[in-house]
Amino acid sequence: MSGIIEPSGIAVSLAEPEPRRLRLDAKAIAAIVILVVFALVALAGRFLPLDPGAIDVTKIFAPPSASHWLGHDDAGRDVLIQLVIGAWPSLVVGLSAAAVAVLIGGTLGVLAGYSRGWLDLVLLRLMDYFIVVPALPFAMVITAIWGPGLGHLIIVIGILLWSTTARVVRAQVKSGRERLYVQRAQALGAGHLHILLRHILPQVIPLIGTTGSLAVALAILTQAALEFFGLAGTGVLSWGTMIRFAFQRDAMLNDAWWFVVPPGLCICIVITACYWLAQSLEKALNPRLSTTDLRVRSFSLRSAREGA
Amino acid sequence: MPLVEVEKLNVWMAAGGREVHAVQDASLTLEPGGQLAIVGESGSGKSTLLMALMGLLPPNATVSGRVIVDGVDVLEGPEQALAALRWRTVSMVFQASSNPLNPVRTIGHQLRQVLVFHGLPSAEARDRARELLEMVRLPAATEHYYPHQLSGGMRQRAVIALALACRPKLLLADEPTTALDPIVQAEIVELILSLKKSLGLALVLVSHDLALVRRMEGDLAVMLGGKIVEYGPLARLMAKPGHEHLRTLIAALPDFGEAGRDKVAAPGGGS
Amino acid sequence: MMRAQASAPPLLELRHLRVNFVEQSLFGRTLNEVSAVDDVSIEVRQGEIVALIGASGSGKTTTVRAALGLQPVTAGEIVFSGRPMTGMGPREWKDLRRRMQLIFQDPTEALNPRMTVEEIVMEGLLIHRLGENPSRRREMIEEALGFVGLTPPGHFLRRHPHTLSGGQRQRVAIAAALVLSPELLIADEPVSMLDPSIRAGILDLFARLRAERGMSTLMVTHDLPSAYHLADRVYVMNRGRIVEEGPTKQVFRSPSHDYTKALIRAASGQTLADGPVP
Repeated sequence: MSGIIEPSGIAVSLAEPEPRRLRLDAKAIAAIVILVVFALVALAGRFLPLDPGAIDVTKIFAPPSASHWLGHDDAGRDVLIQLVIGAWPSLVVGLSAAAVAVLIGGTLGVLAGYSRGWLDLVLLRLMDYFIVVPALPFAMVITAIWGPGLGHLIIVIGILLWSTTARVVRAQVKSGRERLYVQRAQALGAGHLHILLRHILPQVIPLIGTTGSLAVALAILTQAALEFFGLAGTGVLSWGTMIRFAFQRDAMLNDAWWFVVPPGLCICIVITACYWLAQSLEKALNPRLSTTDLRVRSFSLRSAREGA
Repeated sequence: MPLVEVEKLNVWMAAGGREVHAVQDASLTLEPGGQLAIVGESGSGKSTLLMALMGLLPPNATVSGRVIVDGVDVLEGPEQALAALRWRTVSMVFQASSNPLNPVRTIGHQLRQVLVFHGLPSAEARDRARELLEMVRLPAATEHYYPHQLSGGMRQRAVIALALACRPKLLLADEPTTALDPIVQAEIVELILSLKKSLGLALVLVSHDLALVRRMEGDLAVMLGGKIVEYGPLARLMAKPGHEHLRTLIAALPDFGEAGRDKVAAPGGGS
Repeated sequence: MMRAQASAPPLLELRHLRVNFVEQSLFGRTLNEVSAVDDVSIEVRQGEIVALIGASGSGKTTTVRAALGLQPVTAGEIVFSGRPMTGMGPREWKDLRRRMQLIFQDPTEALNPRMTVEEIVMEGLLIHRLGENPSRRREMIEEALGFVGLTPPGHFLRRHPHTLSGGQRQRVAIAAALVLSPELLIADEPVSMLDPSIRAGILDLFARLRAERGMSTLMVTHDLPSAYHLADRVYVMNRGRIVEEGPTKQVFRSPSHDYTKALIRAASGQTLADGPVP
């Protein structure tokens, strides 16, 4: 062996260039716990024999009580049971729509970012147009053509949201393909497919986590809005439709806050959890975002001890 | 009284659960108008030592020892005194590649901004900015240029002008020519040395390249693994290196004469 | 040591190479044309180490990128092993990119931080479908790592680049080139990002490759000492043109062009012609 002169061990790098392991902070853990709890509730609503339609005429707009924690609605139905059952469609539509958005956005984003020239330009324009499509009128037109339904709702929301993901992915791919190790692969004779799979996609996938969780939040919000306006069909009980029913049946006039607040709060909590998750993923992937220290003196003193 | 006095300085850096003793028992002095070259490889602690002179250590650093610059206790003195020390008494030129210039402001604007911030009326700031550009031998028109319109060497001159804006007593230069071409490197070092002379500055120049600093006068400190392994007048050390590491560095200096020919190729090439 | 013969056949010839950077409008109209490489002719013979010296922005890197077909050429010819590459299809270029390996200046940037040393060295083997089976490939990788001094290879295979020192990273990059048994290495500033004490070890690798395997090397550099100690011949490039060429000793002893003179003065720590203002 021809000697390696480097004194190994002396040059300890203080800043590891790219952290391999994702370290999640308290916020992310809280978000994950919240989302898991909601997912379990949704599963329970799906598979437990609960009947949201059970009418009790003696309990119209009955306030919360020990046996019915969230009271009753205008027809004397238990709100808690509705809430539990409504969780499943809310979360499923949110997740599926986000998945559709990320799938379309990710594919077109990679395509646009990797190809230079006209294809990039065309796709970029397309993204611009979709970013300014107004959600409600678009959804109204689509439901008018296709008819209402959960599946349609998922596609509509997916179409409304993909362009955000696409832009973020495109930017990442664009800078990623300029990396020296991509050039090195080219110089080694690698083809486009090899470069995309081995070098570009691994850079993009962590991004999908952040934009994906944002997309879930936005999808749930959009869904609630569309349902509130009755664009999701009537057959499904979800948080959005619950708020709509409450509004239509004068819950507020009867001071029945327990009919409106719980579904609204559930939407808020899930969205907040998604945002938290996105934020801490972003922070974990991009540690430079959080290194501001404006103190005059940020280091700490150590009492003099015998030098080594 | 010396301008800089470093006594038994220790710096520990915490990183990923470990602690690195980045600077170990370093002691230095620098008289007003003096020169000091610190030479060492990456990870030798030379940049950390330089940062400690300005109290610019990161939050994961712990220190012990004493650093006195122009009568201010950098490590333990009042924070206002330290804040005033920076830029006004001590200023710093970073690596050429770090590019501390604001990309969306002209060079002239950035110079004037610093001067006005430090209390000069704007009319005087205008004249002083021109004077600074002239000092670093940049054409007067550079004032109207944006950083990206300048070459690497010109940008580094602009950075030096910025560092000299407040007439500091001490200039710290951390690898000021790394990533520049050899000719530009030589020009920048020459500029720094001549400014040092004409302005009576004290200078601390940190480099990994002994060839670059060997034209300096004053002292030389050689760092290895966080320790100052050699410290003394540069001319004497170059002639009579004591430590093995310095001897290796001197042996590796470019020498385009007959003797240098097989120095590098020899070890494996003989077979 | 095997010295290149003046009569050895040329391995790589760049003939009157010209590269212009063209800025085009959306509709293909030429807005601006800048000449980056202007009538450059370079020859590397078998078993020869040739240095291409020049400042950054002088067109060195563009020249070697053009030699590998990574940069479209405006005019001129690339001839490898007697075979002109003009008009060749993707298959011939791919084959050329096995026989001619590029080593980059910054090993930190040139190695994918997500891949292990084994994956990095194996990448070329997979691209060119070399090595019949996994165990043969493993053998080839270990052999390459061993040659560049990363021993025992097993100790390095599973590590990621950021756990290695700069010199070790550059050794990995060289091993990844060697594993493809190329005929020519093109090293773009192979040591300029490394500490001086590590440089000699890396440069020594190129000398050993020539001595033991007859490897030719085209070294692109602005570090004059490494060119001086390693190269048989040098080309000096300034503003896209070759301003001086010749045997290394001769060029360093009696440089004829002003630019070469200034470079040598700067690198040997002498004051420049215009000197400091007193």
